[in-house]
Amino acid sequence: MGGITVPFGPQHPVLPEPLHLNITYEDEKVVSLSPSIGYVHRGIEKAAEINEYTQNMFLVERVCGICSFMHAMCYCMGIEKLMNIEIPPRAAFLRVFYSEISRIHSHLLWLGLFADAFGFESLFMQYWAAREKIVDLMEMTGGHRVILSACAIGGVRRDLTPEMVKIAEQTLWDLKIELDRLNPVILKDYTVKKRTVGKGVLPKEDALILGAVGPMLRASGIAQDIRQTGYLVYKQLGFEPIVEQAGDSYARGIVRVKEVYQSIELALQVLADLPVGECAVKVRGNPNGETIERVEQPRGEVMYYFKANGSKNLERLRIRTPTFAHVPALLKMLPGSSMSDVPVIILSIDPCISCTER
Amino acid sequence: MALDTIKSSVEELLPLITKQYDNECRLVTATCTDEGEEFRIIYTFDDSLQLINIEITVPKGVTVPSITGTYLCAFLVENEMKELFGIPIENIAIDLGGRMYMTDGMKSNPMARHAKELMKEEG
Repeated sequence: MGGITVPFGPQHPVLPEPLHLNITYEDEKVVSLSPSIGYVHRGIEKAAEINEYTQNMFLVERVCGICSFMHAMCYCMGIEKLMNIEIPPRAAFLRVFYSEISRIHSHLLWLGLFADAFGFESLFMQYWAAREKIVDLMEMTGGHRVILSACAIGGVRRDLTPEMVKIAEQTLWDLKIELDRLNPVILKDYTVKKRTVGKGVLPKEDALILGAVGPMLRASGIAQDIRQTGYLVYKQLGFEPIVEQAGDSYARGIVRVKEVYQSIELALQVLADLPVGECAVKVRGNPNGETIERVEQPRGEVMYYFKANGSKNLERLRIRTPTFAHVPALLKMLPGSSMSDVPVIILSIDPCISCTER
Repeated sequence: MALDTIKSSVEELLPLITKQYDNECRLVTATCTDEGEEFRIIYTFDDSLQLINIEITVPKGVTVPSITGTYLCAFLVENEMKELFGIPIENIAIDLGGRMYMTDGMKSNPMARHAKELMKEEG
């Protein structure tokens, strides 16, 4: 029996951004699919060759709104490696603080969208209301609600005052209490489990070979997180990744729920141990050489490749974002699933088309 | 600062890629740079959080074999290199036919150094 091919996206109610999949169904089961990206490609890698390296930090922040701080941080870490710059200890702690509140912000945004994907609109609104606390915290500490521009080559641009530290600690404690109230709904509710358990399974061996990263990889039983390499102060913080075994949409949800708690703990630990001193060093000269830098974003590993020649412009900047790595995994996760589960499974990868279309 | 890479010829590429697969390494990505007369492609793998870089250098116009036979997930990055740099890559498992980012009628390869000449030809 011949199948029927239906376009999923680029405009679809479940997708805030334009991803396009041509999905072939037989009856209501997915038999194959062909992904297509490129609707909103912005040529950021090319623009990075034209801008001066100091300006690129603001450019790469625009790769993705949600992970903007971590894009800038990865870029700065790469340039600092090329220029042999050692950032002050306080800057390293502050970078971890901003990274972890970005992760909380991203995961809460995703939990809301995920709830919305299976029609649980009140839960969507509750998660996004909780997320507001973090966005307010970003505004207070970084000056902006989403694009922080708090990172700088040589350290961080924004320091925290003792009053800010107190407010940040209180906000994180308040958020934890609120999540204790909300999370049992997404983790234990019958309808949520019905829509997510056993849906979009990505087995362990496929996860690795299909290049999955971040919560996708960890929900399939692979304990891999770039924070394990100990960059910045993660080694000092005794970081251990959160792992689930089932590899389905529910497991991906559990990993993200647990990671929010973990990020709250890490951010609180960083605030408690924040060293005194400068938060940036002056930078002189231009980068030269070639290197790769990786950090763990909320959606997984991001990789930056740098090639510099001692001038103000980079010869090449390559950015491999997590969602770019996750599109191939859909080829394994979707076939065999029912048409009604497709939106939930796609949402479970936490797709960021802004990142993919750098 | 130089990047630590394993240099390979085009002929030796696929056996080296298969070796990474056998060792359960994860493909991080492939990166292309335009070196003027030739292209340099770096295939980056993750082996338990350690990076392995395999590098090939190919004169412009020379065909490069696809690694999607081993790592299917490379199809996006190979389509990207084919389109943005103009590298002929053969046997890509899912070949988007040069229409991943580019629209009908566009011939230039915007990331390649020869892009300006091609754009002039296109008017």
